[in-house]
Amino acid sequence: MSPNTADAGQINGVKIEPRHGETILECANRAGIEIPTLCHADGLTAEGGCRMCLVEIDGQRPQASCHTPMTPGMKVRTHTPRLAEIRGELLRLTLLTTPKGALRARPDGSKFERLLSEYGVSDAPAARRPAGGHAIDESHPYMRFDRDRCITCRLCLNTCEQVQGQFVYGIEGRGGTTRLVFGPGELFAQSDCVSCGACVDRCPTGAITDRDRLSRPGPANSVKSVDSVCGYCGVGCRTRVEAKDGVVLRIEGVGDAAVNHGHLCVKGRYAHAYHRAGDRLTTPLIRDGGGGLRPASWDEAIRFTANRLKEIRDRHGPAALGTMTSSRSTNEASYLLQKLFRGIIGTNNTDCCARVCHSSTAIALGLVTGTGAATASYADLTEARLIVVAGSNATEAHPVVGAQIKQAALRGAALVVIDPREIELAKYAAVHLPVWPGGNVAVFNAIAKVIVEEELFDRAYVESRCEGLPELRAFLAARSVETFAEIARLDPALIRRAARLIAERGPGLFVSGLGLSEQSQGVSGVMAYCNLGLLTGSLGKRGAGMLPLRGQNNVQGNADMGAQPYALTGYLKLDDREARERIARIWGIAPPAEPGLTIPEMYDAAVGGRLKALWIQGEDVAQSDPHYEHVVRALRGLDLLVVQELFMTETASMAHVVFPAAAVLEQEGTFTNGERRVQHVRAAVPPPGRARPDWEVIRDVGMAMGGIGAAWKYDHPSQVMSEVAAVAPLLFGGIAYDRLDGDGIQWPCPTSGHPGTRTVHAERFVRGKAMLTSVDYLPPQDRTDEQHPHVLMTGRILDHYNVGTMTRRTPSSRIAPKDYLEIHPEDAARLKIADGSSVRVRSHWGQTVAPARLTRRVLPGTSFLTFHFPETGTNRVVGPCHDPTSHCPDYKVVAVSLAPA
Amino acid sequence: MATALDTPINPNLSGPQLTKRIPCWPYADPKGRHIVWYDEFVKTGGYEGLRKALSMKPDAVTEEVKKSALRGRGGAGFPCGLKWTFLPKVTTDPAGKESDPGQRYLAVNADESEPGTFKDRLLMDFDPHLLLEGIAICCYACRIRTAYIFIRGEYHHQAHVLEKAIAEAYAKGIFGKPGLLGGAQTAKGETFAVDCYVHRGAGAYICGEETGLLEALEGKRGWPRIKPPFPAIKGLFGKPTIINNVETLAHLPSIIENGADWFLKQGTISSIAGQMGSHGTKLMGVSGHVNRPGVYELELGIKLSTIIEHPKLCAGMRNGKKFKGAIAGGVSMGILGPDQMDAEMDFDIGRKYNVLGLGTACPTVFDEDTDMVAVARNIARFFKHESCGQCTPCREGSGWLYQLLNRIEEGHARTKDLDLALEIATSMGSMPGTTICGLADGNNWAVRTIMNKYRAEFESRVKPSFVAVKMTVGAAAKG
Repeated sequence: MSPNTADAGQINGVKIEPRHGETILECANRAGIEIPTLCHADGLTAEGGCRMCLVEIDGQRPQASCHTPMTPGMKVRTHTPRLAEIRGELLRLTLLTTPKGALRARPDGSKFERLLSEYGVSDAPAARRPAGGHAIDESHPYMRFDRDRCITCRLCLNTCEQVQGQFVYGIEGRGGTTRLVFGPGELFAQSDCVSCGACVDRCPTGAITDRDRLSRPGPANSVKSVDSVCGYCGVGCRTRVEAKDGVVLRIEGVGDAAVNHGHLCVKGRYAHAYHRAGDRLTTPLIRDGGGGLRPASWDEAIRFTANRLKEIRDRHGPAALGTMTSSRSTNEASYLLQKLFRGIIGTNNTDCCARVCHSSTAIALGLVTGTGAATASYADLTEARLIVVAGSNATEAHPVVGAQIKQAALRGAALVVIDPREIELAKYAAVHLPVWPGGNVAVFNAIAKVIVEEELFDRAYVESRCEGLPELRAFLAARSVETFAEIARLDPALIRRAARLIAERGPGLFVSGLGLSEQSQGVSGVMAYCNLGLLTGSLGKRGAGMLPLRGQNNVQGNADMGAQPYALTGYLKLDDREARERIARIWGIAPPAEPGLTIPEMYDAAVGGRLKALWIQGEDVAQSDPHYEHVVRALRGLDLLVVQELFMTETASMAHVVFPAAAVLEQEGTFTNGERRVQHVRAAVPPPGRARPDWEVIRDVGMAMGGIGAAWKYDHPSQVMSEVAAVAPLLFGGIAYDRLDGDGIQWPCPTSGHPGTRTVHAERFVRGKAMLTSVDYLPPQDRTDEQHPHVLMTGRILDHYNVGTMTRRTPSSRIAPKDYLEIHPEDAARLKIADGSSVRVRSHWGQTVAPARLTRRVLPGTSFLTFHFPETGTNRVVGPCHDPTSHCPDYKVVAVSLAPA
Repeated sequence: MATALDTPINPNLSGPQLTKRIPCWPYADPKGRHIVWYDEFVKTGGYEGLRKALSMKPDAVTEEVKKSALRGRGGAGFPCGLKWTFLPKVTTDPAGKESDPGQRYLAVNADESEPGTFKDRLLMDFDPHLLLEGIAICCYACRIRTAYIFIRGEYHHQAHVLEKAIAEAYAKGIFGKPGLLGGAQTAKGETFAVDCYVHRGAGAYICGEETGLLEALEGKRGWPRIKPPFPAIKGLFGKPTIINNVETLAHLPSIIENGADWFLKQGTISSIAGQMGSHGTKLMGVSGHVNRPGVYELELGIKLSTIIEHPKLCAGMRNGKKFKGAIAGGVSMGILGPDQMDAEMDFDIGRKYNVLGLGTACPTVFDEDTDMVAVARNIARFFKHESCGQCTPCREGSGWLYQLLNRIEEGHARTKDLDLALEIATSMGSMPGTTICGLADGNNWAVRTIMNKYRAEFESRVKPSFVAVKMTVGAAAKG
């Protein structure tokens, strides 16, 4: 439809109707008319400094189109001889800022060089040009800064501020002597840069470039570019991967991706070198007889595995076998592995690493609302007026979402941070509640008490959509804010302030992380947190709801696919007759009816001799799971341990069969991110050697074990997804590969015409009415005592991922070469611990040594230890304490003693 | 021919308006100047304008200022009352209750940094309460409760005088919680409280540009903002903000006290049809090659020649030299040539004499011995130093221009360099659309008008350019 002539303006004679507040540049972009710019990028505020975007507007002097609004009736010309002359002059002036030879007109160069070429600017007076020869700053492992090429356009500065919210760059000097600086230091590596690389993508001259990339190869057609999904955390950023000759050259964010809008973090963008690490597993290994692991052919390894699984099942019964499906692999691999164990072996002993991270969250959300997943989406971050972040260090563990939260706060959303540490987000917060580790339930109850007692809750919402208010009211009436505050070691006045802010600005978005889930009171903590969401009327609304941040790329999908001992694919109940019949029709056999074992139960069963075989897919549980001694004893006691891995991890070294796996960059399939979005993963490079995608290996083992006819014949992962859709149509019925281009689909998506669901529980809760819960505080199981007076929390830092199997094999290790223990300077002084010196950390369960980092980020009496390096063995210190309902370990409250080592 | 003596000075006035308490020529000998503190200020009629303003409704005050045709004294001459009306409107409910105007600011531009301009300094040196009274009236009229005086960093003494005067004003109940004038009832039957602060700049000319000033007040680099949005809608800390010059505000007390009609009688109507007149007096700070440089309070419209020649004013050119030219009012306005000595000092000067405008009305006068190339070079050096670095044409062009003028002065340049210098000068500024703010326009106008009005002087300093002549071998033979 052509635009209404009365409201339309014209650009180069093309009629276009301006939208509200749209600039001429934006209008032109929309009309497909290109206006040259140097200091402008989509989504950033207008800078107006380069003046290249000048246009002629009838009857006016030339105007910069990047900050001039388009109005109806306006007639704009973007390319005239006069403008060409001005632009040429501007380019010549800009060229003056750079030393001779640093930049030159060439059609295949940087954006600036292409413009020089287009406007015929070959050179500028040499006399005016500064002396060059600045050394290229290569202090940073991923980024390089070439001062000679910098034209001070400030696009990097604006990008850093407005995309990452990091404020690394500054301008020093004035007039012709202005230059770009990176904070007070001289070198890039000394800056606050978090290596998101957003500035690299926008730099128009190549002054800031990626330094670890292989040099861009010549003919473009030899470079393969593939759109895929990041394989690190659960944010699920869409990536564009460029590869040549089986090697990844560069990864960048997909500009129009719903999740990340082109942004990535240091891990997603840069930490990909692991895929060509020299110690990748490239051939199947088996341990037969008493010897070590030996290379084997795929045929041999698959036959060996199938036979051993059958033997053990026949001898000890199906309950003696179990599996941990991987949250790093694809939905298809996860689905097939649980199908193998349920359908062929006949056991529900299928669990996954969600057990040790968000199991508490999933259970709590399931109890409160009816589904154990986020009710909101990342897109809600941009609309939220209130964001509460509890137990999540999002800027490090989920950097792209963390940056979006920072931007929301900078835009004016009220931010409340509840975290024992003064994390980066705390600096952006209206209120930061530094809750004592383990005090979550107390602080949430205190906030709820203020909201209920002062009648600040959303009465209409609570009355029509929730149950349990009278009980909660009575429960809270019997307790005082002061008592809660004492448990959480917080100032009651601060709690009241936070509560009133939450009530006033709500509905809000309630973000949470493992600080809530990985607690002795994990389920209760999340349920008490949900109370705040319900009291403010947040669940089921746009810009609001519960948004737990998932840790792994596919931890959501893994649980969705059925990696739970008490639920089938799509969270179908084991005793759901209709579902069982449906599955029996598809599989040829119904799944077993008795619930299986959770991960901790499997370890216990293995140690007790009841579990004989375990298939672990892509997880180094010896490193990542708590109570190390116990886990290792369990693994060593098995008759058969099958591991699918990229590297010879500690877990793999104990295996009887090791299948070399394809990494995320090397296989096709789907991941489901933390906002229930199923996205298409595509291979950019082939796997090394004879490594294969997990799903193929499982299929082959399934067929070797006599998998029933057509039910195990898959030629492509899309066929697996079609089966998933048929098995659990309520959630996944409409999900098919041919619908997954672009941003994929957010489940629930029951039919092929359904657009997917951004906000769950919009009309009604899945369980009918949501439940306000009255749960009391219980102290953490691991109590501090005279020998162990200190509280230890464990967690991640930005530059590494989990146990570091991947990131330690990238230049990220240069940014963060080892684990460290955050300790308050007062404690350090008392214990005679110096910054950087070794500290022995001893718990009831084990001990380790780590270097100290003195910081006031932690409260006195608490400390924080990362777990990225096997040398540290952080999880030797963490004990068996866990939430009684979810079996989620308490990684966040460990009683320890600290002493100089 | 009429001599300067025949020309009456300030024909519509019997005495000074802005300099009542500051002895100035032509009314009094500057030797008697001293700082006027609160008691003396009040004894001599101070804060009476404010008292009268408070008895009026805020909109009536604005209306009076609008009617007086008071134009901004900072350089641009924008009508002051009109500027105030750009603030978001407050609405009145049927019961007569006004809607909450919300947080608004007054930013007083006391960043007097233009070379050759020193008129605001006089007011802050000696009569600080006059400014404070103007601030109070403006705040009342515009419903502003917070005022910042952004004062040039180099004005140490003036900042101290203001600080002390503000402390006095708080002690005497002018500013602070109780409300203006010790909690006096306003026409609306309530009190109106204003807080006033001094903020010192850090020595950058660009911070006198109104949005650069706002950025600096916010603690940022003083880089001018892209407009729109205009400060009256989205200014300091994102809130509606009025930015007025010191001298503009100092006019308010007498305008309110005596009424707009009184003010309109002073000065001159425009000689251009349909244009707003130039009313009231103006502090004109004259420097350069005259016998008695200094600040004079004069009605707008007075001829530059009168100012220079009149024995009660500058008392003629120094050493009896001939007049060669004068910068109109601050270097950025450009130059009045040898034949423009009779230019009327009013807001029409720009259109009539090919300069940018009246500016601050502080002329710098040059005699016949002045090297105009050196003047241009010196001005270019100033603008190169003060370019903030935000827009390419100004950042790079100002340095290039300075270098070319240096070459011309030193005699190393060629004729084509004159054209190049003119081309660079002409292409930069907000008027050609190539910069965000007007700093480069000042550079443009200063250098361009000097080069054009003294072209011969420049040409005599350069070597001729060799023009390549195209020869075609054998063309003649072919006929």
